Amino acid sequence: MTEARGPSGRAGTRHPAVDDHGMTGRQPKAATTALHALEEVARHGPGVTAQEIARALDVSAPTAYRLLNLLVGEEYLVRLPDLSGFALGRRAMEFVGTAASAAPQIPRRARTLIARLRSSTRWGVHLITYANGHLHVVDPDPDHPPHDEVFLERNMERCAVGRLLLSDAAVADTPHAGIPQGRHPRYAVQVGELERHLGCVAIAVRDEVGILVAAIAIAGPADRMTDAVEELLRKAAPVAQELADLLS
Amino acid sequence: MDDDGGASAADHSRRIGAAIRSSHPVRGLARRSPFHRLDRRRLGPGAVVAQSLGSIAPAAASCTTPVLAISLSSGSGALWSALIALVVALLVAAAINVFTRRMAAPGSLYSFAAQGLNPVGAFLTGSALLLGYAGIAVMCLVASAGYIGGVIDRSSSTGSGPALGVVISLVLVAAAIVAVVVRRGTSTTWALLLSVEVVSVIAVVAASIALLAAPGDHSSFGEVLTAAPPADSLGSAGLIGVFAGVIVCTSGFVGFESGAALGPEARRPFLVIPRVVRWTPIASGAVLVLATWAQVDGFTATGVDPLLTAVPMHDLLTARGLGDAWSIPLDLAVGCSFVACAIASVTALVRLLFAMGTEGVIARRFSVVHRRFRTPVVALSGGLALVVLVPVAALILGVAPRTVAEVAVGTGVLGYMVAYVGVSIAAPRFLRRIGELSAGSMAASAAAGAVLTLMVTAYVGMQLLAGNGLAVLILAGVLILAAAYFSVLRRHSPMRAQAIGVFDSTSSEDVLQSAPAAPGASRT
Repeated sequence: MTEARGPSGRAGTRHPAVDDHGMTGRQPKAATTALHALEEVARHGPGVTAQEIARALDVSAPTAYRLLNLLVGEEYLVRLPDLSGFALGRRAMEFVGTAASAAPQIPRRARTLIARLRSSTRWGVHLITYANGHLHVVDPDPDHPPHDEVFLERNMERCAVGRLLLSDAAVADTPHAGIPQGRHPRYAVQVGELERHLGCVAIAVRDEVGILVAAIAIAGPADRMTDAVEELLRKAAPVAQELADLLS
Repeated sequence: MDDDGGASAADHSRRIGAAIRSSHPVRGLARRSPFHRLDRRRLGPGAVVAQSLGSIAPAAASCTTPVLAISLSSGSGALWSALIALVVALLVAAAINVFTRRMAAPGSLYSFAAQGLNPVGAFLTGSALLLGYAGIAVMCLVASAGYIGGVIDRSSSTGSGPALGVVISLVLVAAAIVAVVVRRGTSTTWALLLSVEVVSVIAVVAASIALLAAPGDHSSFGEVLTAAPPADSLGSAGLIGVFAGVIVCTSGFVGFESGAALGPEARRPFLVIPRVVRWTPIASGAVLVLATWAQVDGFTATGVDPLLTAVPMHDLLTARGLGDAWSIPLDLAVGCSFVACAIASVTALVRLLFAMGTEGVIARRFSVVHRRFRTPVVALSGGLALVVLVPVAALILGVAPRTVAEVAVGTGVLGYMVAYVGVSIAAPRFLRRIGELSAGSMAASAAAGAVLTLMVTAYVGMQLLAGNGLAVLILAGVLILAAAYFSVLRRHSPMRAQAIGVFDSTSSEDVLQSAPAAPGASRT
């Protein structure tokens, strides 16, 4: 996941394709400059300023301001509360993963099932699908926004949906305390490991041969999680069953 | 070269994916926006356009401002006045867009000013803006009652102008409409507002074109702009006259920025709000220029005296032999446009009170929102009480509706202009603070600030000369009271005074990869 920085290496690299006419020149060039700016923010980390980006891209300051305002307008970037530092916006997610797996489509019936489950409980209910070792939050609970996919994938061993995937892929050479053992576990739980006061149970959705295709993640207060698991499993089991037919 | 560009774009896209996956998470962000109680990120661009356009009321402004510019002795230079006023509006728009590209705040100019001025300066800007919204709202309520009352009056043919009881009832009916619409929220009502504005603009454009196409003598646009006016009709008083006309025409633009008050509620605000703030003055300026051309042309050819006409479009249409068929639809359109303008002004006023209540700079009750519509209902009751009780009391005490409207519009325009001065001074200081100051934005803000300061001074002078000293007195009184209030607040609740400038700052639900916030932050 964290392989390969680009061939040109670390932050501060010269980008020969960029010139001072980044925004006014031909479209491909403007697009390339925008991509470079996005890359610089990802490399420098949150808090990088417009002037630092202008220096890194070797463009004039006004060009950099225009470009950054455009990327903020499109929500690929956000300004941090001090208004001078930049960070990646949620929309930058579009660059993660291949185009084919970026936005998996799910049948409307699946959304209806999840919506019904949501209305029957006060916990946050999300639908996650798995493909090629990656996970996608395909139907996040709007009232309880979950962590984004990049964060979840970087914390696989500590989140319930990640633990389910790890146990299935049998990549856990060194067994982690929370990762369920045995073939095809039905669910995985984490209590207070991502955020101290939150817990989550991930209920597996498997196709007929047992391959993990999706999970229903139910999140809520950590102190009530352990007691509630049985109840939540009972509620979600029929939904998981029906989703298995829809998604496999 | 193109192949190279395409290949490198795909390559970059992959590298960015890798860079994003290995980037550092953002720490220490709040879980939610300070304005999470509002219905955030829901409104489309249409709603923002409706808000900005509604606040200008281009149809009403285009009917009433050209004749004022013409009669204020700028004569046929009025067309120049309209064009220069458009440039001034665009300079102010540039200063405001420094902020709208970077932050969203229901307090609009007030919260923007707080990023570049000290707290007192910001609070004075906010108070002036409050007066701007309230003054224009009052003027719109009274003027809509005047126009619609006039239609009722003429159809019942008593001919003596609408009775006081009718005017007060119409003000109350308009206020009730405003209350219902603002409480319900822009998300469901913007299409109606926008249609009212579009229909009334079409009515004014059609009337202007009819004037320009009517049989008789005409001057072309170029002739009006270049030719020295005929000595016997509309004499030009030279540059001073044009300048006075610029001030009057600029007063027809105020409110164009009010879409910014919907920033937190709009989708893609950093893209949509700046566009609306830039294009609204251009669009309404085009209508204003057309109407000015038609009126200058009309007054020159027909000999109607601009100093004596109360309803210029009517009198000109009548003089051109097109009168009766036009007058009722035109009055209804302008009357409705005034109601829409009152709705937009109150919408912005309520957001400003809501922002101040959220900060705690005024009573925190003002931050309470409606449970279902998520609109600031306590702020609505407060704001509406102000803009209804004041004019109704004045009318009952026997002040003529026309006088109430004139004082209200004078106060409102002054309030807006002072707030524009505040934001123009704040813009370059804000840019320097965040390290993004460029020569262009420095020059634009300086020009806007200088021109506006000059215009505020001149406008004060004009109001005093016109015997409208009350508007100046109200503005001065409110600013002095605001300064006194803020110094008391500072002494007794320094924390609340410090909180000034809250905006819709980025929270962890907006960023990719937010790490858990500090312990104690709640997720649900």
